[in-house]
Order: sequence, then C-alpha cells, then structure tokens
Amino acid sequence: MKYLFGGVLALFLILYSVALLTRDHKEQPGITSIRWCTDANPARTVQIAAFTRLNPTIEVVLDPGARQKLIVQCATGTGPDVIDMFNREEMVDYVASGIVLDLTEIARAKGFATENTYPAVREALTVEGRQYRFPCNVGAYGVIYNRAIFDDHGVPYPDENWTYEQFVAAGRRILDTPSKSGEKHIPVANWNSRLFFLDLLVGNGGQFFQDHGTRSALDSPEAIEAMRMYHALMHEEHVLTTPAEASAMGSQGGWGAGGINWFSAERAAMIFIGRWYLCQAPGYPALKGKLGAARLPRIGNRASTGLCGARAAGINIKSRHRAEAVKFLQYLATSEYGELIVRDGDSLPPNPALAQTGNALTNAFVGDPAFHQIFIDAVNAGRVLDSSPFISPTQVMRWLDERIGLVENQRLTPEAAMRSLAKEVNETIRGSLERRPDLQRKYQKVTGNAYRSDWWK
Amino acid sequence: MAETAVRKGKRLPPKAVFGFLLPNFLGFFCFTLFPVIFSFAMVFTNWTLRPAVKMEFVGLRNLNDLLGVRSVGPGSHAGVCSVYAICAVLLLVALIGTLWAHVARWRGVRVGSVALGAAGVVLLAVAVVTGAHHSVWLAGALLILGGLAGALREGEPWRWGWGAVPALLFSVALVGLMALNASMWASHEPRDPRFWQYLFNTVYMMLAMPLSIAASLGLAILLSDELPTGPIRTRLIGSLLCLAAGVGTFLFLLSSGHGNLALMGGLLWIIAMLGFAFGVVSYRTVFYLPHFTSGVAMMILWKALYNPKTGPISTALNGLCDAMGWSWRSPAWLMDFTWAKPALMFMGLWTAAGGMNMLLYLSALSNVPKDLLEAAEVDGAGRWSRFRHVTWPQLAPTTFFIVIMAVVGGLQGGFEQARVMTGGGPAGATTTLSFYVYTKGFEDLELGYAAAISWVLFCIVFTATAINWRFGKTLEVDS
Amino acid sequence: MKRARRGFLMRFALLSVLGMLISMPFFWMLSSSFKPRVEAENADILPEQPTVQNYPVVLDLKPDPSTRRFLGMRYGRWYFNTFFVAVGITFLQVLTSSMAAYAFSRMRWRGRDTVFILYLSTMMIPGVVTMIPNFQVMVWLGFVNTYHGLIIPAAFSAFGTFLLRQFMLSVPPALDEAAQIDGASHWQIFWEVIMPLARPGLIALAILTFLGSYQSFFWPLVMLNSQDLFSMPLGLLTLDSSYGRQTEMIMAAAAMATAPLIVIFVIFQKFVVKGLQLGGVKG
Repeated sequence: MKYLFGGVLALFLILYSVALLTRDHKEQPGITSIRWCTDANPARTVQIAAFTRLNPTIEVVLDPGARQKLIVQCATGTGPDVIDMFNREEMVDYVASGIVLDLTEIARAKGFATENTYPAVREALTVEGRQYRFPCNVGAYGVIYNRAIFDDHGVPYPDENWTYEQFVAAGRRILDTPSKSGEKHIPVANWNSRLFFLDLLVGNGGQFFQDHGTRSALDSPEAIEAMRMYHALMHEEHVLTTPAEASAMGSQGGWGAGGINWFSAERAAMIFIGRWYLCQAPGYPALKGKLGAARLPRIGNRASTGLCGARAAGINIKSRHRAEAVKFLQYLATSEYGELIVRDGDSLPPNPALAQTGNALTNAFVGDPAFHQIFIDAVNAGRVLDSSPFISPTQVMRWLDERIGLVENQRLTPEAAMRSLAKEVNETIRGSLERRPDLQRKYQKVTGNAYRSDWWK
Repeated sequence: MAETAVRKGKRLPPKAVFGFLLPNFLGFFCFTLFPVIFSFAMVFTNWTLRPAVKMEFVGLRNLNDLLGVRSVGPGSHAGVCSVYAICAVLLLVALIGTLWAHVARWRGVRVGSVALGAAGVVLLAVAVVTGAHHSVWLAGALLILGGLAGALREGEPWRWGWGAVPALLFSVALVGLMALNASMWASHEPRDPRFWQYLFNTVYMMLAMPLSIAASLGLAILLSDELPTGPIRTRLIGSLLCLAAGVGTFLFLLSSGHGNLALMGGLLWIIAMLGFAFGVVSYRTVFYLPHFTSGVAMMILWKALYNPKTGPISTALNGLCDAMGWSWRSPAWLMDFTWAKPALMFMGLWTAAGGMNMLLYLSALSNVPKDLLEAAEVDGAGRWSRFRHVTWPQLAPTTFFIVIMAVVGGLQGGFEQARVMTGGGPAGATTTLSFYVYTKGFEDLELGYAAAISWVLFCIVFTATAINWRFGKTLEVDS
Repeated sequence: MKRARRGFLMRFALLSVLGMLISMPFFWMLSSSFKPRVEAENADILPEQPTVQNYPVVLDLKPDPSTRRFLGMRYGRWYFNTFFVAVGITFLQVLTSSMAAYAFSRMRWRGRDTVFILYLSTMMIPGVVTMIPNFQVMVWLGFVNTYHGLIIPAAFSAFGTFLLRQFMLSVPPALDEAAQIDGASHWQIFWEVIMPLARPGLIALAILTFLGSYQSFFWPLVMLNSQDLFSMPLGLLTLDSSYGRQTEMIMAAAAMATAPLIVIFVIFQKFVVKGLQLGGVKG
C-alpha cells in the first residue's frame, strides 16, 4: 500500500514538472510580453501581427478570458496589461475601481490623445476630463438590409431620411406580404435587445441622468416612449422577434450571435448593426451585392441619431510593462492599424483621416461608397450616453437589461418598467450619498451646493 | 503485560494524534475555518474593491439592506412596521418551533396541528377571495396538509402541552401578518426585492428534491435483485435475439422515415441486449452515466436540447400534441419566465435520479435482512405493505443521510446552471442565492454585502439540517 | 413460475425503457458531434450529412470549415491539465482523509467525537460563504493562476474523512490491538493493517474524487487566467462565447472528454458500490 501511494506521488510529481515545463511562452531574452484582454475575434491575430512587425521586441498575447472577473483580477495584481473596454460603462467602472491608468499626459505626448479621434466619441474616452482609453475602433449603428429580400416582397428600399413609421410599415410588409419566392422572412433580426433599446432611447432624445447626475432621467417621457416603442415593435407590430423566437435561432451556420446568423443566412430582412458586420459577411458569399445600408429611422421630427461608441483600449495601472503597453496604444493611432480596420470592415478606424468619405472605406465585400458613408454619418451624428459619478453605470445597465427582459416577457408594462428603474437608481444614489463622504464632496463640487441629508426633497 | 498494553492504548500521547490529523486540519484551517471567520467579519464591513471607499465597520447595515424594508409612501407608521416585523420573526421562529416539536415528539403536537390547519384554511380562504398570488394558495394548502398530518398522527395523545405552543404562536403571527399586510405594503417596500425573488427561486428549485429521491429509490428497487436470466446459453440466445430485434426495428423505422424513433427503438433493444448479457451491472452503468458526466458539457448539451424550435424535446412534444389534436405548443423553456425553473429542475432530476443516491439505496437495500421480509410474506403481507413496514424503516438512515445532503446541496446550488445556461434567467427567473452572491461579489464588488447574503443562506441551511438531524435522531430512537 | 416470468419481463422491459430514456441525451451528444454546422441544432438525431470533420477541428488539426480559421483550442493541453490536477487532488485527498479518518476512528483521545461533529458540520457551509475570502487567501499566498492554487484547496474534504471513518469503524478493533501488543507504532498499524482492509473505501473515495474534480468548474473559473492552465470545463466554455455557440464542436469535444470517464466507471463500478456499501451511511 505504501508503495502504491509512493508510486502515485512519483507519477504526480513527474506530471507536475512536465506541466510546468511546457507552459506557454517562456520569455525569450530581449522580448517583452504583454497581455491584451479583448474578445475572441479572429481578426485580432492580424492586428497583432502588424504590431509585431512594427515593434519586434514586443510580443502581444491575446487573453480572451472572462471579462466579469477583470476587476478582481486587476485589483489583485493578476490582470492583463492592455484592457479593451467595450463601452463607456466599463470604463467608468474600471476607473472607479482604480484599475486603469490616467492616460491624459502620455497620450498627448505620444499622439493618441482624444484630439486624434472623432469629436463625437471623445466624451466616451474620458471621465471628468481625464482620458483613460483610446479607440480600437469607433462605430455607430445603421440598418443593414438585404436588397434581395426587399425585392422579394416588393418593398421599396429605405431612403435617406426614412422615419420610424416608414420602418414599421416596411417591416409589416415583409411580415405580411407573401414573397415571390414563397419563402418566409422575419423583418428585423434582433440580436441584442439592450443596444436596440438604447438606440431608441437616444433617437427619442432621452438620456440616463439629469441634475448633474444626481437624479435618473429614465422615467422621463422620452425614455418611457422609447420603451413603449420597443414593446410595440415586439408585441404589437411583431416586427421584432420575441426572446423565445430569438433563442430558437440558436447559432446555426457561422459564428455570431443568433440574430446575426439569421440575417447572414438570409432569413431576416434587416439588422440594426454597425459596419463591423462586414467582418463576418465574407463567410456568406451569397450576400455579396445584396447588402444595402440606411440610417436609423428618424423618430418624430428629430434627425436620425443613435448611440455612438468605441471599443477602446486602456492600460492596467498595475501593469509591469507600461512602456510596451503605451507603444501598443500608439500603434492604434497609426494608419497601418487603421487600414486593417478599414479593410476588414471592423467599424471605423480610430483615425478620422482614414474615413473622410465613403470612398475611403470601400472594401472587398461591399464596394458601394454610399454604404460606408452611412456609417460615417452615423458616427458624426451619434451621441454618447451620459453617466453619473454617484452610481456604477454597469449596475444601471444590468438593471436596465432586467427591465427590458421583463417587458419582453410582458411581465411589466413599459411605463412601470422605466419608473421602477428610475426609482431604483434614485434610491441607490441617495443611499450611496448618505454613506460615502467622498461622494458628498463630489456632490458639492458638481452641483455647487453643500450636501444636505434631505437634498433630494 | 496485556493490561499495560491496553492501558497504553487508552491514553495516547498527543503527538501521534497530531501527526495523523495535521495535514487535514492544516488545510481545514487555511481553507475552511479561516475563510469562514473572515467571511463572518466581512458581513459587518463595507468592503468593496473600489479604492475610493475606505473599509470601515458598518455594523448591521448590510443585513438591514438585505432583509429590511424602507418606508415609501405617506402614512407609514413606525408602529405598523415594527409590529409587522415582530409578527414575521415570530412566524419564522414558530415555524421552526413547530417542526422541532413534531420531530421531537413534544406533548400536545396534535392539538397544535389543529391550530395549524385552521390557520391554513383561513389563509386559503383569504387568498382565494382577494385573488392573491398562487404561491399563497400553495402555502395555505400546505398548512392544511401539515395540520392534517400532525392531527392524524397515531401514537400521540390528544392532550394539551408545550407542543401546542409553537403552532398557536404560528397561527397568531399569521393572523397578524394577514391583518397588517395591506397597510404594511402600501407604505413600505423591501430594500432588496431581488433577494426575496432569488430566495423564492432557490426554495422553488428544491421542490424537485423529493421527486429525485423517490426516483433514485425506485431505480434502486428495480436494480436490487439480480435479473434471473438463466445460464449462459439462454443469455447468449436472448442477447442475439435482442440484437436482431434492434437492427430490425432500426432499419424498419428508418426506412419509414422516422429517424428519431428509429434510433430510440434500436437503442432500446441494444440496452435490452446488454441487460440480458450482463445483468443489472449494465443498467447500473447506464443509469449512473448522467451523474458523473454532468458539468459544463452536459449543460451546453441541455441548452441545445431545450431549444424551442429545433431541440428534440420541443419537437417531440409538439409532435405529440399535433398527433393528439391538441393546440398546446411547447414553451420556450429556458427563455420563458415561467418555464425556465421547471426546465432546470427536470434536467437536475435526470442527472441525479440514477446517481449517488441510487447507489446508496442499492447498498442499503442489500442490507435489509431477508428473513424479516420472508416473515412478513408468510404473514400474508402484500408487496406494498412489506415495503412500507419492513423495507422503508430499514432504509431510514440512508434516506436521512440523502435528505440532509440533498437539502444542503440544493440550497447552495444553481450556480453552474445560471452561469452556463441562462446567465441568471429571463429577468432573474433562474438566479439562485449562490449566483447572487457571485454577481454581487465579483461583478458589483460589494464584498461585504455578498458575505451577508451568503451567511443568511448558511443560516437557512443550518436550520434545515438541524431539523433534519433531529428527525433522524428520533428515527434512531424508534428503531 | 409464470408469474415470476411475467414479473421478470416487466422489470426487464421497464429497466430497458428507462435506460434508453436516460441515455438518449448521450446519443444526441454523440450524433451532434458528427453533424455539420448547418444541422448542428436540428431535432433529428441522425445527421443527414454525417461528417467526421468536427473532431480534427476540435483538436486544432484542421481549420473550421465555416470560418476557415483554426479554432485555437488547446484540447490536448486542457485534457492533460484536467487529468493531472485530478490526480493531484485525488492523491492528496485520499492520503489526508485516510490519515484523519484513522485518527477519528482507531485512536482514542479526549474530545474525539465532539471534534468530529464540529468538523463534519463544516460540510454544511455553503461554498459561497468561503468563496471570496478563499480567493483573497489565494491572492495573499500568491496561488492565483497556478496549478498548486487549484490542487491544494481542493485536497481537503470533510466528506472523504467521513466516508473513510465509517469504513474504518467497521474493521474489528481486535486487529490493531493485536498489532499494538506486538509493538507496532500507529504509523505502522495504519499502513500495514488498516489501509489494506480499507481498500474498497479508498478506491471508492478515489474514484469519486477523481471524477468530481474533472467536473469542477467554479474554482478554476475564479482562479485561472492563463489559457494554458485551463481545465476542460473552462476550455469548453471558450467555445460558447458571444462569438457563437458552435454546438457541434462542443459536442465533439465533450464526447472525447466523456469517453474515458465512462471507461473508468465501467471498470471500477463494483468497487464504488462496495465502498459505499460498507462505508455506509450508518449516520
């Protein structure tokens, strides 16, 4: 028996040494290795390869790991060096957790300051005037539609200034009118409820906060109207698929979330998405020549507008390879990187000089400059969502997701959902202000009034 | 010389004991005891990982945020709130007391049960009249059933005694709660409504536990005796026949276009063949398969199985409805607010039915003294009667152990399903308390609050286990 | 006689039907692993165009036909990691649990039973209670994102001690009294007398621990960042990302991961049952 245990121990120790010896990238002399935490998009390998050509002494390791753990990892010193933040909420959260580096001076010195990218998106890169990230790509949504399906149902293409009502009418016709080929199509592939709703919110002129961020604006008439429209599109007009139908789309054929696949498989006529759809489109050669783009439908007598944002990279404050990480961010502002983005169709490059007109963005899959111009216009007309220093934006987003889910499942009316969301946000802000002296000081700085315990009455 | 040896054996030098215990206890201290104490301390702080917030002692604030209420509308009296709180606490204490009194056989439990049943009738009546949520109806029905069960309990005297007191307190508290309910919730709201929803989810998902245990017992009974298939020659012939039948069924159904049914039919015969050839061993293996291959892969598989358009479960159900002419359509399972939890519970049942519980029951069944059963049969007892009076009591210790493990595991569970399959479910329908602790701790970074939630969960688990344990002790006394 | 045969047939039929129903999902998994992408989530169990391409793609030997890129799955590495971590955990757990069980069952000392009850009651503590402090302890010890961080915390189990103690209690005390008279020390008694007798229990515990650590998902999820340290469950999850759930690939990966477990179980099944039997649940 003793020998059995001894044998197993020996086996284990042998395996252990093998495991340790065969671990990844033993650091080669002269080469520093940095970790870039981003998503598992295959295009990253190409982008990394270009960077390595320009900086041969730096190796970039892709780390698509669990993004939920990112803050915990960074706080405990085990985080990556370069961190992709996919939206403004993540950035604000990371700044509040103290894990990202303030880039303002470095960026100005090295050429990736906010001035080096689009004006519309600058606010999304800063918190209280200090810059924390630089875009890997910039985007805003438009409507990509399948011309062949529109022709099949005899629906005219969307025009420049189409309105919300025209959009609904087009959707209804695709749903109701039998097609010439006999196939059925769904009007809109809803692949991300939250983003769709946020576009409706911005399109209605709504915002998240008011009164310098001390009060929620999600129970304003505009916000309620946005949720009401979302509900109507899904349950009254049936232009949007319900979650049950959306989940049934699964992930047949190709990669990408369900709704995107259905559009790619030509079962849906329209999709609200950014130019980055072109990354996946080449996997579906049948779509070549059929894609058209239009702006987001106008709501009321407002101009067409939607959310504009950036997937942007920042630096871990505890990174041991800060200089190399800075080099990486510098690379993002170069035209080598920008051209890769343009060529692969991964939204708009961070450098506006490369995307002045639609002509500059034509790529192998879609040669029509008007298609790409739509997205340039969308970015320029886009708006960044506001946030409040008194509450975590990701928490608000999570609560918003819950309310959207409840409205989709028809367990709450749109109005009740938005009111309860606003109430929850307000209660949380009040509670935080009551308990945290640092927030009370911020309150004073931001509103100019001293903090009183009954400030909200 | 023998005496000194024995005496030496009685009082050991502590060194030897330490030596044997040390490795285990070292790990225990580092990774269990210390974190537990640490976690308990965290409950009373406001620890988050945000640098702007200094960690400080906040007393019961986390618990208040979790379990408390805040006043909302006008007309909120401190009086209503505190009386309601007293009634709620009394209800909880009295409920635990009632259960304890029953398992500990205090005098007067039967009288108390009448009070319990009466309270249940009142609750049900009020719920029906005012159209309350169906879980309230369920609570009322359960109370009535509990009252009946307690009142009809044989062997207890119909006397007044201490045992009636908890039940009476329970009824009083319940009446108080019902009376104050409307005014309380008109002017107050819970501080963390999500906690109550997730608590409800966690308890709801425990409802599958009795089914799962019963299924394990059933399977164990089916497998307890060896299959009398006879000598090798019979077995060989039987297996070949099954194989032939299997191939035949498969090809026949395949050619008539029913791919799924073909596979099912063929599989049935193959399993029969294995059973013929190897006896119960093969069935045992097959039944145990889900248990030890559970995990991320299985969950992803079940996510695909539950696909409402293309998954086999929905397709089969819809096909059945079509064949019977019903218009019911299969729901969206994991994306449907009402059906997400039952879907997960069914998956849990499939995983656990033939699992460890079945093996435990198998060993226990093989220990049931055969002569007792024979004696009972000679006395003319039927199959069911034999089971109920001979087998079931012998299984009591095993059932006791299984129930304790199931309760402990079930209350802490649901994390992996939520993380891998539903992300917490459509609008929080499949979030259990353990997943809530994870999101609060690792995503919202409110570590003190997360610790508070986990300790509340611990208290629930502890109470349930204590009651179970006492129940088991009673059984031991009986037998 | 006839009734007995009818009873036998009914039992046989019932068992076979149940067996089929319970094993259906596995066949669904197997058959899905042979389906091409377009049929990946079809309800029909049998693929219309069966393909074996999924297996080489999962093993990163061929690019994924629909995206024309390699999946980048480090299947072999993850398999190795899972296996070797499982060996480590099993070894440590069996060793420490048996030693502690010996102390609790064969040695008499003051307060033995009280300590045991307290020790057992820690099994009741929900994992979530210790989740975050444990992670913090790991950070302080520098164990995050390492192999030993995975193995060491999981190597101590009250359940193992409990199981083996029950087992050792059933060994007649006369045996070690005789050995003591012969002058053997406890360590020798432990190895020479008790452990060989406890072999079924040890095997049962070893098998259960080994299989259990194969599935463990939560602790590796919290602890590991580097891809080359991942265990199989974490690795499978990378296929389930927002970049598309490639069901047929996951099924192929899962089928390959599950097959050895089934083999192990079939071989060692008898021991597991016997181990649970004598070790039993005598409370």
